Amino acid sequence: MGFGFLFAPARKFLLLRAASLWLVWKLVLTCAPLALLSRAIRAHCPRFDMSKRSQTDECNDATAGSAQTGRSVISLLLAIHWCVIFVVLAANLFPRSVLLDRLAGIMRPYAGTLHLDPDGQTYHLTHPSEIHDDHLIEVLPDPPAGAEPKSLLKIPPRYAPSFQRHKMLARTLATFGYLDGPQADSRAGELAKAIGGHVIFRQRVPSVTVRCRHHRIPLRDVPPAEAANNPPDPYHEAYFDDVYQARVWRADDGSIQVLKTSGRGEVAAPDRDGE
Amino acid sequence: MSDTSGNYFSKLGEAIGQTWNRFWFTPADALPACVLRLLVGSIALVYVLTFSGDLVTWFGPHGLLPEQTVLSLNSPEGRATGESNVVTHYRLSYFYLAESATGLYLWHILGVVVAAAFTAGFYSRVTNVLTLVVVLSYVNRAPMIAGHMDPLLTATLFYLCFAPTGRYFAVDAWLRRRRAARQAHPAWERKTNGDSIGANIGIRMIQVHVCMFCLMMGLTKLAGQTWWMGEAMWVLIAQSDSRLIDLTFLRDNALVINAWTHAVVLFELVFPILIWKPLARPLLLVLGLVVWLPLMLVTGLIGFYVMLLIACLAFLPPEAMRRCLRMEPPAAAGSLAGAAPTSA
Repeated sequence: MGFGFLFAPARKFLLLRAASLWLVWKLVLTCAPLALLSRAIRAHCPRFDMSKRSQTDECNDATAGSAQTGRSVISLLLAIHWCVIFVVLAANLFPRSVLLDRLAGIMRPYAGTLHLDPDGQTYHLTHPSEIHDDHLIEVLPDPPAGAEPKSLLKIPPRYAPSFQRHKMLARTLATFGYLDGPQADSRAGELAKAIGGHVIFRQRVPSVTVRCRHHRIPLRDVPPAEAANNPPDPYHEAYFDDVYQARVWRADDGSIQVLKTSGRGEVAAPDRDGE
Repeated sequence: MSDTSGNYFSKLGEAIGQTWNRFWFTPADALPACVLRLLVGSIALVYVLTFSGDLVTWFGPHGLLPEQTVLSLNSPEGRATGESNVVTHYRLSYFYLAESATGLYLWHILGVVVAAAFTAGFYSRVTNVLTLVVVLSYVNRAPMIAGHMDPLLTATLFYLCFAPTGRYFAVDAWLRRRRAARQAHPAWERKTNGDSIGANIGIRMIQVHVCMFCLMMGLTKLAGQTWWMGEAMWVLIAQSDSRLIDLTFLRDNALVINAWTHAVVLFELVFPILIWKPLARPLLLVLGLVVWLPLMLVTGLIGFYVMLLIACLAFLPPEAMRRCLRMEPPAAAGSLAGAAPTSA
């Protein structure tokens, strides 16, 4: 019995397993030079002394020999492991070379399974730029209630662990929002549908507007001419840009539907007719 | 000429082999691995417990990330474009087996029990692997909300699997002592006393991983313009949604901001190299606190920086750890091997 029962939906299992086997084969091909290297190192390595007293009799020599084999296998596995870690960590920097991209793809079944691959995390805001932090998701009532409608999605306080999860979710939606093309649109739509659907189910409302916003930071050196565009209050409306916006509603058959109403820099009022 | 070069490569191979064997296969004291088990296990337990309040909100059928949504994001094309956190088919999670809120909570409770058992050192070899599976199940169920801490946590849990983490501060050690006292069997003593190659491999792997991680952090910073310009710390300070402390009063102190920015990069580039020098190690560990704790407060990434500092404990020499914990050296521990620290 394999791990197939863990996959959902199950019908994808065979296809996925074939893909996994193919990836493992690619990994083996990649590791072949490493195996040769390991053999070369082993050939040049002095025989490892298990302990000085164990070399005095033949029985212990045999033990040392099997220990040597075990050690060689462990050494090979260690070498492969560190190659994988090196590649996935090196590939965490964008833009990256085609070679690194392909190697990271080949090694992902191993590194991804153990979650050793940071997979594009902006490590601790390692290259902070305005697109890399402080995105937020708002779920607004549709039609909007009042001049400044409150978000129906509750965000926990910033010291709570789930706050970071909400931020990661907002960043994921923003990432899709920033990208062009139907695939990114489709993924953003899927996420917006899930988020909107959650609020519709919880709050028992017929429709909502899911909006992903980017919270820009105040500049440190503001030229006097641009002071009006950089107010001292970091929560001033001037610091917020809309990255993605979609209307999500419950259809007559009970299914959740989504319609993108605007993308980055093209935010318009939501189309209340859903058309 | 060929003889000289042959000699050279032969000597090089020998030197590499000897260094490699010494580095990885020298038996070491298991105490650091046990201390790490206690701390990393606590982090894993807290990590799992943080899902208690909103497990259904995230993973439920009407949650923010229902199963179908996560699976529909599963496509290889996402990786090629550099999109992060795209789920792929090798991401296994037992949460896919749960079809209702009750099922989710049953798995969750099981996860809490396993993580607690690992932290307490109960059947630590088994519960270590199981805790890794538990944490991976949470991560893989919704990789798009996996935080900065998660890759470090899973890596450390994975590496601890190689070490005998139940020798100290563990229920296993207590049970072993009781059994040894009851049976008066010297084999128990031999088994629990002395150094272990597994402990060395586990600790070495954590050390190397932390170094590569720091190097990655430093090198990626070099790719960012704001770090070169010395403005990066301001970018972090000004991110008002994340920060735990408000340091915006530094706005007009350009030199302070610049110095802080460059110091962070310098430290993260120097750390992976100088940490291997015993003389520089204590200094770097203290500097790690000085550099990363303020960053934790500024970025709000509490879990990540705590996890990073815990992983850095792998660099503490076992003797120093024993001195801090007022424990006897392993050889003198005798039949009390595996015991809790002495009260002296």
